[in-house]
Amino acid sequence: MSKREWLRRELGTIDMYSLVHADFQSTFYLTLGFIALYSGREAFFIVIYAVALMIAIAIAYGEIGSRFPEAGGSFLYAKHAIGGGLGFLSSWLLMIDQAIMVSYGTLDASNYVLTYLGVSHIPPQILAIALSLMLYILTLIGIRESAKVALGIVIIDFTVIGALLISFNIIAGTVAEPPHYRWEGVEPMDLLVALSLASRGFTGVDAIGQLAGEARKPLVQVPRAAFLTATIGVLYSLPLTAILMSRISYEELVEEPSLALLLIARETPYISWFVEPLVVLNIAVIMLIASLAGYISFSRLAYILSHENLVPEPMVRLHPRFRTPYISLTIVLIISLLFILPGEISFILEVYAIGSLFNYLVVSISLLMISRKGELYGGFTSPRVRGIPLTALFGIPLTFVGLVFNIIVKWSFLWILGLWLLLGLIIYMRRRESKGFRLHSG
Amino acid sequence: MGLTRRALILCSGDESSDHLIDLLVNNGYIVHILTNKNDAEKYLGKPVYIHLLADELIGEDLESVLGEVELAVAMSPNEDLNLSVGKILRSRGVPIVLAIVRSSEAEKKAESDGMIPINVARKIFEELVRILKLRFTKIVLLESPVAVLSLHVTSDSRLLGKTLKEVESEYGVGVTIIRGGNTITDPEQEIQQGDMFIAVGIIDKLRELLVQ
Repeated sequence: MSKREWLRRELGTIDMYSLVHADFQSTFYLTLGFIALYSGREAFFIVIYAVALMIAIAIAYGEIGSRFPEAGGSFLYAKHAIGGGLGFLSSWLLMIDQAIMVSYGTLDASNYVLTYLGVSHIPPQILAIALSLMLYILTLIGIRESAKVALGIVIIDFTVIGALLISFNIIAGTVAEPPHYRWEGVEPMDLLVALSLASRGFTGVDAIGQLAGEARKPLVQVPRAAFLTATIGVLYSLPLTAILMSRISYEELVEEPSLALLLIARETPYISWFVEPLVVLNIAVIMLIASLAGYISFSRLAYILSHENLVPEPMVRLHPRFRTPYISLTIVLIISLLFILPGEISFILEVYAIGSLFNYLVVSISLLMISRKGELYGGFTSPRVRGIPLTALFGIPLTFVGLVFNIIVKWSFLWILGLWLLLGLIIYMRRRESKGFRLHSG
Repeated sequence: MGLTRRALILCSGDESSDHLIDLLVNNGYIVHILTNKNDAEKYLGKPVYIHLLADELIGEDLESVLGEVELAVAMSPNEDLNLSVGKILRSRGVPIVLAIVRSSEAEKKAESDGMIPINVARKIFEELVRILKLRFTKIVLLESPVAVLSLHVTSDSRLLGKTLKEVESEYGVGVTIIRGGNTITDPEQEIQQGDMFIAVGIIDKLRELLVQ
């Protein structure tokens, strides 16, 4: 009988939400400026599309996740509904996103802080490596500890972005008339690119599914955390877009599209001097916690794939004291360092989130198939239209369209994903062969 | 097959399923509950898979993980359902299937289908004997003709006052007694009321000992 190892069930709904919040919000903070840059006066409509896609994905995760009590998320869903091969493929694609997230999150946080402080003699890689090591230790110590830190960051984010940046601008009455606000005359630069970015604007919700194995009551907590994610996503994204288009001129945005939130902070009436450094700090810590979510998601995916003998066995091992998957976490650390060291990951970022979108499409299809079988009972069931869950009805076409937008726009960069897939395929085939060998050799 | 340890419970609809779920989850099992739609909601607060009973009892999703299920407990109040589900599970290779039954007939059927029956009526009976210290004898054949006899010594027993040595030499059996939780093997010890008397020997000699 092999040694038994299992994860601790310590997470509540708020813990799960906290661990996902940063991963989820950071992508939008980063892409908002670029979505606006490419879509011009149509930015609000493009963000509505992004929000619709986000809601569809989050609720689909909530519905399907309310049927699975163990770690594995999309891998498990696809395995149950379609088969282990597709489950592996979609999880493998998701894993590269998580590894990239760790790298760009720590590097971006370093860049933000060092640039704002005017420190030029320290390479951002040094700080990013230190931060990645710190996150590695935190995730190694325990999920509960990680959740506590993440909750602290959520509170900071609610205070700085929610209470100060959004509420203050709305209360100050500086928001113009929708849908074009003050960008009436701004022609869209490239709507296809904008739609491609918008499709990737809210990746990260998948981490909720990964955390089910550590939740106390996963069948009810996963849908609750997913609903919370969707609700807060809406409450943040639409007002931020409206404020951006009301307070910032398009010409200003063109100068620094990656710093959209900082531009809003600079133009916030009365408190800009106060809120500007807070926004820098906020974005830096959000990026850090997004990296934390990357660590958690990658390691839990590797853990479940190893459980299934689809990746090498050591990745399933848990630390004897902390009961966290320490080998998997160490692998994320190594990959993150490899991406951080060159100091430039924009090339890799070109394919960021395409794997996630594919994953979300697979999840929506899995939801459709599992629902039609009707055997697995869950804590949340969406209304049915001719037997098809409403969540899948919206999720499948929306994620498919999002994927198509990205394939068209990022066509020339897809070879990077191809290489990653090839590596996955080699591992998958070798594991299958070794399993076959074991069977034959008794 | 993965390394995950899975257990399946055909649920009872009462809190005994809850206790069993907690026990298994706390020992690292992924637990699958098989239940009907009316009872399913009760288990939403537990970290378990909830499978609804299909027309053919075991649905497609559950079927796909049966290879990883190492323990199943059929504990529904419906004895026939326990036997039917248990039989399917054994035929699918689930190594340990415990089935709750209430009759000797069902107990035999469960055994013949490869399950481990737990006869609730018998358990109640045994518990009553233990609590009330009622007269009770049981002979279990170990390997023919060797058997083991256990009995509670009551106030009317002919064994009262005899020493272990006397009984052993008279019937050619090995004797021990359990008194207040302690095992007593001293040949000079006299048998008292309330003792649990245990003897190992040839079955005919044990029967002879019983009727004396």
